[in-house]
Amino acid sequence: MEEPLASRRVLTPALLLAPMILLLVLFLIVPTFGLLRASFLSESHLLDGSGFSLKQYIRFFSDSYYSSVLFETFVDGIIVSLICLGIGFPTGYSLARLSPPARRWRIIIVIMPLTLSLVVIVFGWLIILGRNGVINALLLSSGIASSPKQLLFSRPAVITVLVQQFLPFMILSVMSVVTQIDPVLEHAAANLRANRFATFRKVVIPLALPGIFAGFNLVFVLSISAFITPRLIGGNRVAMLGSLIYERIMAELNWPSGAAMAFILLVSGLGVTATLNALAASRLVRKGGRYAR
Amino acid sequence: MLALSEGKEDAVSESNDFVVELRSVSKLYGDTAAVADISLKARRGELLCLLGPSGCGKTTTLRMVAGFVEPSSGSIHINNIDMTHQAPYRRDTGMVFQSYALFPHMTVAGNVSFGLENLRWPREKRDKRVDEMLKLVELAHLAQRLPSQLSGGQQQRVALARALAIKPAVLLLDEPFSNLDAQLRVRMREELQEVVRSVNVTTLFVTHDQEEALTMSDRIVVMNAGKVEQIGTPGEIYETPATPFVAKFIGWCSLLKGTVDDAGAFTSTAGLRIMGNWSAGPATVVIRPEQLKLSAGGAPGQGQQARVLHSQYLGGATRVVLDVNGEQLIMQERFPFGRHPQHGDVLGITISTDNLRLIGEA
Ligand SMILES: Nc1ncnc2c1ncn2[C@@H]1O[C@H](COP(=O)(O)OP(=O)(O)OP(=O)(O)O)[C@@H](O)[C@H]1O
Ligand SMILES: [Mg+2]
Repeated sequence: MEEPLASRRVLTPALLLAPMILLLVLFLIVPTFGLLRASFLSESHLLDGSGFSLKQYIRFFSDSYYSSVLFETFVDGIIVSLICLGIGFPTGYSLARLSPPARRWRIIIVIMPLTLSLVVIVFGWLIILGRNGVINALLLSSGIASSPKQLLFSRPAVITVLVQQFLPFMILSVMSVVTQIDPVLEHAAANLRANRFATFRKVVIPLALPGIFAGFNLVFVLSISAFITPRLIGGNRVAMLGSLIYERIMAELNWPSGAAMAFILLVSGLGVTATLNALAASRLVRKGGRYAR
Repeated sequence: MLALSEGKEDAVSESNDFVVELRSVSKLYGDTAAVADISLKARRGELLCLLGPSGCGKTTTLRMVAGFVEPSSGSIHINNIDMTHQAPYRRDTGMVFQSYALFPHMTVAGNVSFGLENLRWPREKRDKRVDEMLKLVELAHLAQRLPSQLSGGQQQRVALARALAIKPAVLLLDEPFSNLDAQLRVRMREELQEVVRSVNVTTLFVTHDQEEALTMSDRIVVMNAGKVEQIGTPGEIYETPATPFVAKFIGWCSLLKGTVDDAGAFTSTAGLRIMGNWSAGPATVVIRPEQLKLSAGGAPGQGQQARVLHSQYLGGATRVVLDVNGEQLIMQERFPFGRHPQHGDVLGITISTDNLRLIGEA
């Protein structure tokens, strides 16, 4: 009578996980491998070709245009993450320090933009930033500018819109970690002669580090893989790898080339994520006294 | 902040040598007063205990001294400087929190060194102080551990070392033993007393445990519903309680309401008479268990007739609740083996009037 119990302990989780695993295998793992396969094809326009070639990868790394786009994409990802951190940390922290009832409807406001379709958001920004948009109207009527400024189709515009889209992820990551930090620790720091700034630097930030890393990670990965925003807000002047891949596959139907770029983005993105995780895992323990050295 | 801790030496020479002073301090939360008009003074080097039932405002009082809660009215002085509206980090206090509040990302030594870093002590001085403090609480061998790797008692000692390291004018402790088991509690009590005496720091200590208060304090502040009921030495509090509340809260006792007649004898509402020469008027009598004695072996017929309601065997003695003339009295007595009183037994007792405390009605 012992055996069924033991086997049930293994079987039940497997059964519970089965639907999700099936879904992931069918719609994520299988297509990913298909894409990986396609990236090693040499014929540029065929998905059902045969053979094995590194041509797409060699082309990517030998053409300085692509590596500069990859570099720009990463720089943009880091800038967006840093801005989100700058805005999201104070917001997430103050939300965490509110009482749960006061927090509830504020969280709804934070999450609200995520419920909107990306297309709606982007068109909203087009109206705000366009030649006849809200900002230009304000600039003209207040006399700051004499003619409409070109706000759209620039890197700052893309970064602004990406920040707006991904800020909630940073806020929620920071908030969930800060709620775990006992506020009494801040009192203890103040009692030990630390002013607000020192308390933040030496107690709150080190303890919130897991949330900061998680939020940074999320925003970074979402930013480097964005393609609708760079295409619509950045136009032809701002190249990010995501929109390049989209164009390659959807416009030129060049699957092997697009697939190779997608894998380069995936692997390098994973590299950054893994590095951040390793940093977060290595506990930053503060020693004291003669043990500090 | 440095100036404050260095100013200590000057303050000693002053005649008015109170390290902490609360003047008519109140704290309102909405309409309800957590603390209502409290005044108290702690002398230099004194261990002052705030004692009272749950919710009587002890923690609130302590947090107002530390600066985490701003008083609604009144003023708080530390070393004769008005600190009522100063930020916590500008006050010369060291606090041991009920939950210890050790920084989980710092080692034991890191925790102890934290305050010294903020005070910008030079490294050598800081290292020496950390070693000294860890030796004081006998934790030198655990200096590199993280708080999560310590037992409750060890964490408590780190919290104490951390608070004392910065040489505060006043040490604040909020029920520091409430998370420890009974045996460890008694040991830590002795240890704390020893450490506090050895560094001679003025200490405000919060507890709801009357035994803790009686054994540790120089003076006790008994609080009830946000007010001070009585301030005095443990002896004064126990022997001469100022109010029925204090009598009831400190140690076991029976309270009898009644009146003193013109002859000076007390008669309780149920009719129990106790001879004496008190001044006439309504009064409450406090009878401690040790003031009830068995008369001549406790045989019925001698002294007052007392019927046993129930009894509790405590090992060294038996606590007996008696019905004497319709009043319930508590007695503690050592009965011979096999002769423990049972429910319904009748005993002869005498009430010693020597130290009997009578509280006149206000
Ligand atoms: N932030 C607050 N808001 C509203 N009421 C409060 C607040 N803090 C404390 N109180 C109330 O003030 C009163 C005193 O609280 P306090 O924490 O000082 O009690 P205490 O004597 O320390 O009790 P305990 O022994 O249970 O710790 C309580 O009735 C409590 O409900
Ligand atoms: Mg309390």
